[in-house]
Amino acid sequence: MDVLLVDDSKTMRMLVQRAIRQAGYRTLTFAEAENGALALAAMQTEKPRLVLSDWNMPEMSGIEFLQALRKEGNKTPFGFITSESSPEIKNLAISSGASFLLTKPFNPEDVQSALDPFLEGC
Amino acid sequence: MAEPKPLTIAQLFSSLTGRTVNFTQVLKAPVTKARQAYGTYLIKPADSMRVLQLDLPLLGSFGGSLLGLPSDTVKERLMSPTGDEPLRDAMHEVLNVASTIISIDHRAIFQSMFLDAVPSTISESLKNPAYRSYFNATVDGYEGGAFSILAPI
Repeated sequence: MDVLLVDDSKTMRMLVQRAIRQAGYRTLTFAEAENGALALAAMQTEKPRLVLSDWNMPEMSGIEFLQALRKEGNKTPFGFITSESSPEIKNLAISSGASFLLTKPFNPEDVQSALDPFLEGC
Repeated sequence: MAEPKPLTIAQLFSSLTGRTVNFTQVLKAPVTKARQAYGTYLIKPADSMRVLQLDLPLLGSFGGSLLGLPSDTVKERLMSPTGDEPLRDAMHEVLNVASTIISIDHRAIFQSMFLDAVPSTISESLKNPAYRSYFNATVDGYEGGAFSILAPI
């Protein structure tokens, strides 16, 4: 599995996958989780190349998930795909260990720019 | 308080749905007989509330176009007495993404989606909203409708 998608919206998980494939990454494999807690559990067994997460989710938010992951020493590249776009949110994301924050709505070009540094060769 | 511009809102939904979406601002609350949908938002840091009220067929158009559903299928699924989970999830996500235009100055966090009616505490406070911004929206190939941003007193 290459990418772990974390979003409470099944629609958005589908749209992100579609955008990633449209960006040219046609052979990537995906796993999905509906919130940070489930994603954190999945990370105990899965070793994705990249995590893409929403910010606002029930049970455990995206930022809580990222902070828990980094606390465990997990350095997997992590990006947010979220409707949150304020400077405060971006700063919190980056200072907590995120590599990028992509704002919804996005297009395949946005996705490609964000993912290229982490998925080169895929 | 800065007001979201029709062009900004149209660009957001055009980008989200891949369809040509147009918004026209109107001075009075649109008269509509359509079923209504509501999104409630928490505005930070003030912890105030804002409500997006729109015609359900319009929200269905946005959600349906995300899923690639034809307009007629969207209408059928909206009328289904048991509801349609994929369309409901898509409409929920549309309201989530709309948080970026609900408040220009502050952070808006999407809270809940309601169909047909909001809880009485919210509906009471919406009778004379402190802030109101009314639009009519069209969506290429889909049903349009009324779209209002309201801040309860």
